[in-house]
Amino acid sequence: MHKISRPVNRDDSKNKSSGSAVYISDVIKPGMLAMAVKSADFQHGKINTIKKPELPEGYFYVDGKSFTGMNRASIVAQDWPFFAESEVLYFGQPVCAYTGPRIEVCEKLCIQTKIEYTPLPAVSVIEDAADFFNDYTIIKGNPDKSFKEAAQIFENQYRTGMQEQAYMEPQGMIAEFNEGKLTVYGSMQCPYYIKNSLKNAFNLDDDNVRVIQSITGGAFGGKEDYPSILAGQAAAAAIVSGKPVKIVLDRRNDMSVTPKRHPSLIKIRTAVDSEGNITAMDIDCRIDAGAYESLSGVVLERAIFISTGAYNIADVKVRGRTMKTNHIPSGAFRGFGGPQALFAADMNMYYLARKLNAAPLELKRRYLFQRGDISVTSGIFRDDIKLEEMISRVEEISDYSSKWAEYEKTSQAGDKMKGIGISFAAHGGAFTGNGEQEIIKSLVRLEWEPDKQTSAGGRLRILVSNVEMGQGASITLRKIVAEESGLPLEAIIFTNPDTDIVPDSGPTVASRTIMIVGKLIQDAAAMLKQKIEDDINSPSSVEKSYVHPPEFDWDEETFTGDAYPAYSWAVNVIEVEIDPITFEIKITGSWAVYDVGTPIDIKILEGQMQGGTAQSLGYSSIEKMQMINGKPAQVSFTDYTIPTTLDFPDTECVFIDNPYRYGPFGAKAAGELPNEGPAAAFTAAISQASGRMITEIPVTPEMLEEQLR
Amino acid sequence: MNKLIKISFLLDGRMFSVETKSDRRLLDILREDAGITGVREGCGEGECGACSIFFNGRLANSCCIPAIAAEGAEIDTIDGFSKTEEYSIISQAFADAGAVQCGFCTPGFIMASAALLRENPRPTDNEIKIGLSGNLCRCTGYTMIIEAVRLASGRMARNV
Amino acid sequence: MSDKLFSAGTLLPATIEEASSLIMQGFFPVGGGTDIMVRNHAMKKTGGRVKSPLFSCRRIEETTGIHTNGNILSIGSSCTLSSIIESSLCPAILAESLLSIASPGIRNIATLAGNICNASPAADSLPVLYILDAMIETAGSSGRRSIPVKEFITAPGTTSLKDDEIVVSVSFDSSICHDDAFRWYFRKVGTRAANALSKLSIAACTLVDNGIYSNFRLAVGACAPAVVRLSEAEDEINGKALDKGSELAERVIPVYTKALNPIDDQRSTSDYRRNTALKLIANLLSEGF
Repeated sequence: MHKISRPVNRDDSKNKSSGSAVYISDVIKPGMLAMAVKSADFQHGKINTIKKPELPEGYFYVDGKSFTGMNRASIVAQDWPFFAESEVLYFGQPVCAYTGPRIEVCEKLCIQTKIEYTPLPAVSVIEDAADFFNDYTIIKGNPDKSFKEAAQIFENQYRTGMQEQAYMEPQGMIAEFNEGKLTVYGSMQCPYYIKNSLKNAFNLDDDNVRVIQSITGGAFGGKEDYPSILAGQAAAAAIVSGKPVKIVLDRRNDMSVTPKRHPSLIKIRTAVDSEGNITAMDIDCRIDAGAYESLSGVVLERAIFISTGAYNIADVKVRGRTMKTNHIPSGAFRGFGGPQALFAADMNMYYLARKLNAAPLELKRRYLFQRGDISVTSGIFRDDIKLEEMISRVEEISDYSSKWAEYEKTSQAGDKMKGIGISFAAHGGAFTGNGEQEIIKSLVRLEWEPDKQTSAGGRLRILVSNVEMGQGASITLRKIVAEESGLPLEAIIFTNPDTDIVPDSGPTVASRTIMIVGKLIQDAAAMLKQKIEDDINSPSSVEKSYVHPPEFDWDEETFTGDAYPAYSWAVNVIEVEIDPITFEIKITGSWAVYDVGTPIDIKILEGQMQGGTAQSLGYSSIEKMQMINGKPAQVSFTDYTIPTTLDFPDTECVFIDNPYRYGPFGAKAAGELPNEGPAAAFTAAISQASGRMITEIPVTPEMLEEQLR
Repeated sequence: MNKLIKISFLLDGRMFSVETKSDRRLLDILREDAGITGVREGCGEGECGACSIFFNGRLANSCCIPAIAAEGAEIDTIDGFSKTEEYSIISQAFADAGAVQCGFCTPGFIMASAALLRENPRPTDNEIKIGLSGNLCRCTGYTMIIEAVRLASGRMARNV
Repeated sequence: MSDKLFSAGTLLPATIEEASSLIMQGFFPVGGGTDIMVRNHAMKKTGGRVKSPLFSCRRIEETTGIHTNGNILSIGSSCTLSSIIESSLCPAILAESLLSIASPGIRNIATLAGNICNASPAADSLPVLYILDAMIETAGSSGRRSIPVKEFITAPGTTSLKDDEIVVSVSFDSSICHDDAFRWYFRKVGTRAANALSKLSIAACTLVDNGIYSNFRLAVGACAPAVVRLSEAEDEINGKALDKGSELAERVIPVYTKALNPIDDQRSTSDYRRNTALKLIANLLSEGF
C-alpha cells in the first residue's frame, strides 16, 4: 500500500471536540432576524386564499412574489419553487414565511396564517403514478432475441423505502443583503449550486452573490439540494427586511420538509437458456421523484446505468422513470440511485440462484464483471477488477461459505433462524455521464504565500469549492498536496469555501472530491512545486481545470459509452439471527472488502466504510419512513430510529490495493461505496434465515411476522 | 400568567443567574443566555444526546430540563469540561481513534464518555455501548467512538 | 415586559399545601420534566396546548427518597429513574423495566412518577407496576389518597389525579420479590436496540412451589388503551403445574386474545403487537419461568 495511506489525525477534531467549532446555528450577526416558514398542511390543492395575520412592527412577510428573478431553485432541473404559487403539490411545501426579531413570533404568525385550498387528486405511491419527469430506455446487446430463445423466464419485483439522511446538524442558513450584494452562509455541500440558484432567483450578476460554507455537521447528500431552497428563502427575507436573516430548521421541521432517498420499485424479468445460463434481463425501474423533478433525473441515470449490479449480463433492456407523486421531492442521498438498483440486481441474482438450485455465491461469481466486459451502457471496464481476490479475502475474515452451508441445513430443519448473505457492489466514480466534462468543468487553484517565519517558508493554500462536511475532505486533500509538493502537512491550508475566493471545482457529491478534485490539485501541486522551487519568496499560484481522459466516450443523447471513468467495488457479508417469536432481527456479523484504488488515509476510509455500512443497515432494517396520505409519519428522532451504539456490530473492513491511473496516488471513488452493498447482503441473510424470498426493504419484524405467521 | 423567574445555578464552577420562564429549556439558557454553543441541539427531544451536560455530576440531556429544575443545581458543560485534564485524555483519544467526523455530536459523546468513565473506569465493550446508547452519531457507525473510550480508559488507568 | 419577576423559591414548594396552591393558580407540577419539555417544544411549533408555567416538587420532603416500611417499598415521586435502578431496595424486575426506558442521560432526570402520570399505554414501567399491584399515593388540599395504579390511569394520557393533587410516591408490597420461590419475566419489544419506544411489552411474575404456580401475574403494555392484566387468566394458571405450560397456554391465550386491542401507528402494526404479545405469553408458559 502507498505510504500516503498511513493515517494522520484530522485537523478539525480539536475544535469539534471542545465545542468551539462554530456551526451556522451558533452564529449571531448584529441586527439579525429570525425566520419561520409556513408549510402547507395539505397534500395537493389549488390555493384559494391565504389569510394573513396582522404583522407586528418589525416583522415582514415573504412569499413567491419576493423573488425578482425566478421563484424556482436551480437544482439540475429548475422546477422546484422556493414558495408555492397557485398550487400546493405536497404536504409540507413552503407557502410563505415571516421574518422578524423573535422566532417565537414568526412561528406564531405561521400558525395564524390560514390557507384555503380546493382539493386536487393526490398520488401517494409509485404504482398509482401515471406521470413521470424522465423516461429513459437503454438497450445492451439483443435482449429481444434472448427472451425469444429463452428456456425459462423468471420475473420478480423489488422495493426499497424512503430514507432520511439524518445528518446530526439540522439545516440552516444566514443571508444578508448589503449595497446590492447578497451573501449567504450556511451548512451545505455545494456552494456554487447555491450561488447559481440565487443569481437566477434575484437576477443578480456573478459579483453580487457570495456563498460561504460554515462548518457542516454531516450531509450525506441531504445538503446537496435543499440548501438552495433554504438559501433562497433566507435571501428573500434579507432583501425584504434589509437585515441579516437566519433560518435554522428544528429537527421535526427538517425531517418534514427536506428531501429523502427515492423509494423504488424495480421489476426484473430474466431469460435463462436451456443450460441454465442467464442470457438477458428486462428491467423496469421506477423511482418516486415526489412533486418536482429537482435532481431525480440524474439519480435515475445512476440507477439504470448500474441496473444489473456487479454482474455482466449479455443482453439487457432497461427502462427507467422518475414517477411524479404528491410528496416531498426526493433528493440526493449517499449512493444516489445506486443503493436501490444494486439491491434489486443483487437480490434478483439471489432469487435466480434459489430458482436454479445453485448456491447464491456460486451463481453470482459466474457473472461478476471482469476487465474488458461491457457495461449496461456499452462502456468498457478498462481496469483490473479484483472481485475474485476480494471473495477470497471476505471468505477468510467471515467464513461465509461454511456458515452458509451450515445455516442452509439448520434453516431447512426449521430450527434456529440464522442466515448469512453476500453481495457485490460497484460504484462509478465522479459525476454521471458527461457531467464532469460538459457541465461541471472543475477548476482548482493553489496559491503559495511566502512566510519566512514558518519552517516551510510559507503556506500553500488549496482553493476549491468542495467542502469538509465530516467525511475528511480537508485532511485528505491536504495530504495529497503535501505528498506531491513535498511540503509539510502543516504548511498546506484548507479552509471552508467562499465563492468570492475559491474557483468552481464543482459540488461535493458523487464521490468525486478525491478522485476528480484530488487529482486536479495533485497535478496543480506538481506545477506549483516547480514555481516554489524557482522562487520560494514570491507569491505564486497555479490553476488547473478538468480534462476528460480521451479514451472515455459518452453520448448523452443515447446514454451510450463510459458512464463513469472508473468503478470502485465492494463485497459485503452480513450475518443475522431472527428471534423465532418476535422476529426481531439481530445482525451478528458484518464484513466487507473494498477496492477504492489507493486509500488516501486508511483511518478516514475505515470511518467512511463503518459509518456508511451502518447507514445502509439502518436503511435495510430499522429506518422506516412511511408516507401516509402524503404526510411523513416519522418526522422525529423518536419515531424515525437511526442506529444507536447497540444496534449493529462493528464492520470489519479490508482494502485491497488496485491503484487507478487517473486518480491521485491511485485513489478512486470511496464515500458512497459502503451504502451500496449491505442492503442486499442483509436481505439475502434474512431470506436464508427465514426461508422466504424477501424482496423489500426495510425488513421489519412486522413484515416477517406477516410472512411467517 | 407565564411570569419570569430568576433562577441561579453553578455553571462550569461559577454562579450564573438568569431571568426566564419556568419551562424554558436549559439548552436554550445555555446556548442563548450563557453563550455556550458547544452544547448542541440535534433533535430537541432527548434522543440524540448532542446537548449532553453534567447535571449535579451526572449525564443529562439539557433539551429536556426545564429552567425551574436547574435552580440551585450544579451544571457542567463542554465549555468548562474542555479545560480539564480528564477532557484532554478523552479528546485526544477521540482524535487518535478517528472518532470525530462532522463533529456535531462530538461534545455530547465526550460528556457521555466522561460520565461513563467516572462511574466505571474500566468498562467492557458492552458497557461502553450502553453508556453511549443515548448519543446518536450518523457518521462513524460508532466503531471508532467505542475505540476512543477504550483508549481513554486505558490511558486514564496509566495516569493514576 | 409586563411580567412580574417570581422568585425561583416560589416554584420550588416545600409542602403539599404550597404545591396545591400553585396548581390552583395554573402551574403544572413536574418531576424531571423530560416528557413535558418534549411535548411543549413540539406544541410551541404547531400551536398546540403548552403545559406552562411549571413548578418542581423536588423540595417536598416526602417526594424524595426510597424507603421501606415493613414489606411496603415506597418510591418518592421526585426520585429519578437512575436513583431507583441503583437502589438496593429496588426489585430486579422493576429495575429491568426502568433500564429499558430512554437513555442514561434521560434516566438521570426523569422520574417514575412522571412515567406514570404521562399515562401512555406504552409506558415501560406500567406493566411491572400493574403486576406488583402498585399504589399511587397522592396528596392535595382535600387530603391524601392511595389509588391502585390501574385505577389511577383512566385513559391514554389521563389520570384520576384531582386538580389540586400531586403524586407523592409509588408504593407496593415488595416481599414477594424477595421470596425464594419468586420468578419474574420482563420483555420489551422496541423500535431498536436502545433508546427505543415500546411496540409492546410484557411483565410477569409468579411464585413456584414444588412446580406449582401461585400468585401468577401478567401484564401486557402497548396492546390496548390501557395495560392489560386479566385475573380470569391468572386464576386459570394459579394452582397449576409449571410442566403443564402448553396446556395452560392453550387455555389462556383465547382470554388474552379477546382483551388485546392494539393500534396501528408509526411504530408498529396492530397485528404484530397482538400476535407477538400472544406468542410471548404462550412461550413464557410453555417454557416455564
